[in-house]
Amino acid sequence: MHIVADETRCSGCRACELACVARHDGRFGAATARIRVLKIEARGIDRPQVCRVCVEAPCVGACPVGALSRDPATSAVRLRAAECIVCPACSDACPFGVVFVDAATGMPLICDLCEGDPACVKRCVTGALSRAEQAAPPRKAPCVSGTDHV
Amino acid sequence: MFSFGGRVLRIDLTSGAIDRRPVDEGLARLFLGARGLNVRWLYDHLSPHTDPLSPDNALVLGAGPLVGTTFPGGARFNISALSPQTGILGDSNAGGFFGPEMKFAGYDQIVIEGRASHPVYIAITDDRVALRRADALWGTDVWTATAAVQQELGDPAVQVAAIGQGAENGVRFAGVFVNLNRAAARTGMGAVMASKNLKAVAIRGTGAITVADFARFASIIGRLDEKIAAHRDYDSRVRLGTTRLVRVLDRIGALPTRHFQGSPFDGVEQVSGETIERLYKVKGKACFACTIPCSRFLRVDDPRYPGLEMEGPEYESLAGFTARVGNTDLPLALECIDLTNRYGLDAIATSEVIAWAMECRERGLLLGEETGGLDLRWGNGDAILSLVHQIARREGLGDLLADGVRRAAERLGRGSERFALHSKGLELFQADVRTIKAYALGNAVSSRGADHLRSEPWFEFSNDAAEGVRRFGAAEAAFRLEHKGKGLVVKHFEEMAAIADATGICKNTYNNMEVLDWAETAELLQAATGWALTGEAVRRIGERIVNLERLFNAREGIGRKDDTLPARFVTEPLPAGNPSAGAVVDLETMLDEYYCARGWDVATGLPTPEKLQELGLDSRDVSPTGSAR
Repeated sequence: MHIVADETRCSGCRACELACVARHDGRFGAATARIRVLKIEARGIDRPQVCRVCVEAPCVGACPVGALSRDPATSAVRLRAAECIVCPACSDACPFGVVFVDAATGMPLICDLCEGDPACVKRCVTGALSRAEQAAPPRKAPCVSGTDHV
Repeated sequence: MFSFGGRVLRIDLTSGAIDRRPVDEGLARLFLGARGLNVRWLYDHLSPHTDPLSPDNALVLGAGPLVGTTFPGGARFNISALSPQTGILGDSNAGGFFGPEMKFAGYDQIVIEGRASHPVYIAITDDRVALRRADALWGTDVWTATAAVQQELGDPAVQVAAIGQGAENGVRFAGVFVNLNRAAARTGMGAVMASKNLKAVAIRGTGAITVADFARFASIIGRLDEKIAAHRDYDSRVRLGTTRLVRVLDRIGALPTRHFQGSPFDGVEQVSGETIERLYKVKGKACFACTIPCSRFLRVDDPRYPGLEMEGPEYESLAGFTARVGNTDLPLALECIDLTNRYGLDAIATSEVIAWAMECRERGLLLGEETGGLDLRWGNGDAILSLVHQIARREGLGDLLADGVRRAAERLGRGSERFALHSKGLELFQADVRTIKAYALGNAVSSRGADHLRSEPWFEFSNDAAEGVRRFGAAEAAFRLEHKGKGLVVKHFEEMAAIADATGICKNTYNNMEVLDWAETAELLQAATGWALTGEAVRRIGERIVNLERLFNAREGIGRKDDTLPARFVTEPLPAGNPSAGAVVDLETMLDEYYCARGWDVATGLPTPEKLQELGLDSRDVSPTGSAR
């Protein structure tokens, strides 16, 4: 599966970021979110930045120590934190800029799809975020919405 | 401290001194945060009769304990100071994303004192606080300044609270704006900021908030989500936001047509929220983490205003630039609203001073040669638009109006004071209070001058006699045209509004939709803070805040004599043809009931020593008389 974002429906509220941090850290914040909303307020643009769950994930291939792998059930990219050497290779490799970096630790922040039940999707009231149920999108760069390139 | 940022940041712009200290938990247990802790700070640190535009005034920003959490719309912050517009408590509140960022940076309160020797802005990233030169930003509007600060700091997502040219030019009702369109605009906090040579506050936080009982907090929010989604108002709020009120208030004759002269507004369909939705709405917008995206992004297609794109408007600014000034030209109104956001002006006050000038012209109190060539007929778009520019620049007639309607009328004289629609120097909102008596009382007693958001007593629209009896001991409490019971209604909703502002949540959900009662609020705050709280204890915090605000104002000379409404609402019954024809406000009767309900002295309108003792407020705080300022 993967998360589909439709920015034409996004209110820009960032509840997805908060839900992500709450789910992963048990706290309320945004700096460690694995989904982020790019906001251009003057133009009314609110664009959720979310992992595309690429079929051939550049982040996985870029990891020099093999700390990234795919979850067989969800296809999500999983990080074995103990093996991470805190280099930015995965983040640099992501063509969509959605492998974020924890400013405090340097560790990558990659969407793990919450074991198949993403907290961000559950929290989104506008329908801007939804789940696509196929195991993975057909190409490595799925277009997430008709207006993805505003 | 669970659910708090944990620290108070104090910045002295005169010396450049910066001080961080832990938030005082004892005070937080008494006043929660934001509006509550802000008034406590001002009461303790400001001398009575301070000059509001001098370095001795302080500007206090506060974000309450629910800000930055998953509470829907837990996004709001308060900015407080002695008001240069009213001379009493100044306090304004806005949503958006600034408040949560304060919390993530670890601050519940930011106190700004003194005056910088040259224009500056404050840049905060977690522990790092810097004063940066703002000479190049001085003279720019809110939008330009916000973008420039974000660019200079290299962070397009840094949250910025900025003032526009209005504040710099000394407009007394200039506000502080966040996220370009979100206004903390009442009571002139922007003018205070400008007097300190402070153009903007930029803040970025990388921390997070920890609540005491995460699982319980999450479960309460889950219940709340369901309640909000099932609420009868939910769909219309999502579609229209507060602009739904244009039609709602038209039906009861409450629109402020031609400066509240009582006739129905003949342009309702041209300017309604539904019309804006149909013609211009691109999509819904929301404050931080809110499940009710009640704001809207608009793209206005009108050749006169090329490229006009904006968020909003709210009902208050929409009705202000349509019904109040007699204008049916919707794009013109939206252009005016956009200008107030960019110049950084309070749209309520701006629309009132323009409408007042139009009525004065109509009545011959303002002479043709005194208008600077403007034709001040009702609805004349050119004049309305020109006056917005002139007010912000203090040019021509705008210079008179920029001091607010009370001062403008005092300067003009000729009996124009009768038509200056304010209480305690703050301009009235966009609903005719003759049609809604609890709102009338709420405006008269509000601790920041005429304002509906100090109480927002929606209950009088309920028409539920049994609930009126159950909750307030009078069936009449549930009916908007009645007076009986409204003292108790206003007291109750004032305390709710104080809790909403002190915790940082939205009055649309908390007051208007009543999504939590006292016991549920206590349960939520207990999960957040870990403090043992009952519903009654929470209510009492609200009561304590209202009482301390009254003491602050009493020290500046306020008492019953100042709890007034403009003569229009108490002496002129609404004319035939209005759906509420014949209605007029009997304020004194409601005031008696209100002071009794409050446990205040009915003659002076001030808290009694017994009431203060009951609330744990020091009896030294009592001002004996409420003598003149």
